[in-house]
Amino acid sequence: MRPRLHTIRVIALREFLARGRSKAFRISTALLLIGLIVGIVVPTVVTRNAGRFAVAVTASGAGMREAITRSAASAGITVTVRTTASRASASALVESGTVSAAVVGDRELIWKSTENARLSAVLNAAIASAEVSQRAADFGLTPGQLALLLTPTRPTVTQLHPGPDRGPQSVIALVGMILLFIAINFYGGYVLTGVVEEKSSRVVEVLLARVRPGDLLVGKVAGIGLLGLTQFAALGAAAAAVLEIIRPPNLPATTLPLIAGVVVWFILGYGFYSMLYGAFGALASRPEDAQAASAPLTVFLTLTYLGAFAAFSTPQAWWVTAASMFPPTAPIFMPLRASVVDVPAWQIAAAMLFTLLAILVVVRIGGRVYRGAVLHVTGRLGIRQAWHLA
Amino acid sequence: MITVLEVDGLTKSFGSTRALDGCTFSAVPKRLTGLLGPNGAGKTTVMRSLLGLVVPDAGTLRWHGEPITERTWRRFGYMPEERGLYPAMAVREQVTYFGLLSGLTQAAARARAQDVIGRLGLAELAGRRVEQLSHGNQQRVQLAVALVHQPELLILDEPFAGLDPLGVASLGELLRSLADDGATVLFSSHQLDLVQHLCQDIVTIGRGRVVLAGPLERLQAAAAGRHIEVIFARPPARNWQAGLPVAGVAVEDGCHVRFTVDSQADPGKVLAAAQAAGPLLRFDYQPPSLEELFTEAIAP
Repeated sequence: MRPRLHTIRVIALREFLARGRSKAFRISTALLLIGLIVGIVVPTVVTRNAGRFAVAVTASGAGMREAITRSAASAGITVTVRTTASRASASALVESGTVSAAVVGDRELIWKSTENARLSAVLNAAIASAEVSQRAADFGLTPGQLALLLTPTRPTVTQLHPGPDRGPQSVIALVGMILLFIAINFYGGYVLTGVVEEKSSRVVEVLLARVRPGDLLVGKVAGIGLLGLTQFAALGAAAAAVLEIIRPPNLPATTLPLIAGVVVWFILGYGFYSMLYGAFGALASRPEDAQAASAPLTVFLTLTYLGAFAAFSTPQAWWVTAASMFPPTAPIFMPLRASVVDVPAWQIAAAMLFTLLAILVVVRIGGRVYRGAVLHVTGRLGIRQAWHLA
Repeated sequence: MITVLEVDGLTKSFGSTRALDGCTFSAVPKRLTGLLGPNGAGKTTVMRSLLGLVVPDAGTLRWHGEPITERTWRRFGYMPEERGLYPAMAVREQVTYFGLLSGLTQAAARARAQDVIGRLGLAELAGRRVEQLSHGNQQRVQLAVALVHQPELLILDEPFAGLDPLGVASLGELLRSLADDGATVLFSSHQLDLVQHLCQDIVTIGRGRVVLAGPLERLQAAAAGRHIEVIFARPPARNWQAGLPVAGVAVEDGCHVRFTVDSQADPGKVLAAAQAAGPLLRFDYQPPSLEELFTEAIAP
């Protein structure tokens, strides 16, 4: 057993280094890193600025400043109010972009071009409120009476099945699912091309004179998988650092377990599909044939992915439960389902166990197809032919 | 001579094609064994069977009397007919990698790679990627990969194919010196003159069976005829070879006479008869060449 482990380790290390050093890998990592940082920073900055406005009011509208501040506070946005002398100067401030809008007197609103919906609602409410205050004063109501009149009593709310707000969580789950799909495809593709390259460069015969076909495939899958996890870890560390610096609001407490879940399912999903990619790759003799040879696998994965999008809107459906337990689809469905509904722990454990067992089966079947096909260097083989050649 | 490699009754079919049909032969250390046969005879299948690349349907393979298993393969070095290396990997890295795969430790693999790279004259190219090398140098790297773990049995499929005459000479010398160091060398080739020049032992396969095997000298000695070639200083007396056991028809071209005698014929008597016919410039008494033995052996 020990010499085999030594062999698998040597093969895995070579795959890890050879792929890791390749230009394609470095470029893709850099692009992913940039995409990730932009993906975190831009929405945070945009949403942060989206809730901050500056507004000019003319001195003539005395109660307006207070009305705007109150209205903004109840709408959950921050409005800085700036007092200016005249309509002309207020207009100039809007024109220059210093403020988003100006309230002239107590009846006029100035915008540069289109209205900002959130701010417009706040300002209209403030104008209405200022007018109501004015009228109330005219009718001889005290501010206390007015407040009593305008503050409605909140109704009593009862949730029959209270649950956490899963909005932000489901966004992370969706991103996780997309990443999982991309990662399984990407690294499975590495295994596929690696197998075909070894076959087309004929180095495979030299390799197999020294190592078992199964060990060669397992070493390759392990090395590329390790590279994937390293890339995940690097990207994860970068994401954590960026999040630490900019601290976006609304990050659910369950983010870390969600990410951990995605990583575990990546290992399982990759383990399952990469062995199959290796076996399918062995059926082709030339790189041009690789895509065609692996087409059934790619089509299946893509259908699973599209199915997962459908599952997103109906996570309670029976077929989603079934797909999240079925090994070939579980790596995509289970993390998604678990993040949008409460999945019993036994189901998650069972899905993981089934997938692990399925990986063992795939290692045997895929290993045999690989063994049968890998020395067959002319044309494309069928799975059945390869099976019988082994 | 101790037989180290024994192939007994090796049989293998691919679908309805019988590639090997009870192939039996052996090989001994410190000697070069040439594996001969026309295309499709089964040479590559024999070699692949020895390395576990092909699982035989029947027959036994033994190394030092023990059945050949996964453990044994690591003591073998192999160069397939279809050369294969990682094109983008540097020479030193590549040779070291295959050393590691043969079970060497990191330090041993590095040291052995360094050694074999030097021995094959690749030291200056050690840092270059394989795809940057000439065909001949790639072939040397391929050989370095086969030799890095100091194999006891070296199996080379068409090692001389594609080499220029200098390359052929230096590879021949190298194989000779590896055998002198104690290795058993089995290689296939279609260049029969080269095999005759290099090998002590021959195994000829025809249609999946061994049709001729043994030490080359003994095979030649056992052959039925001897070739006589005589060049006279002036046209010889007519019918001077009448009393000799001539097989077939003599070819006469003025002073140049060629014919074949029975292997039992006394070379001294043949020479005496030639000398009696006229003054000699040259007298050759040769057993049949490997090419003749080969052609006769594989004839349907």
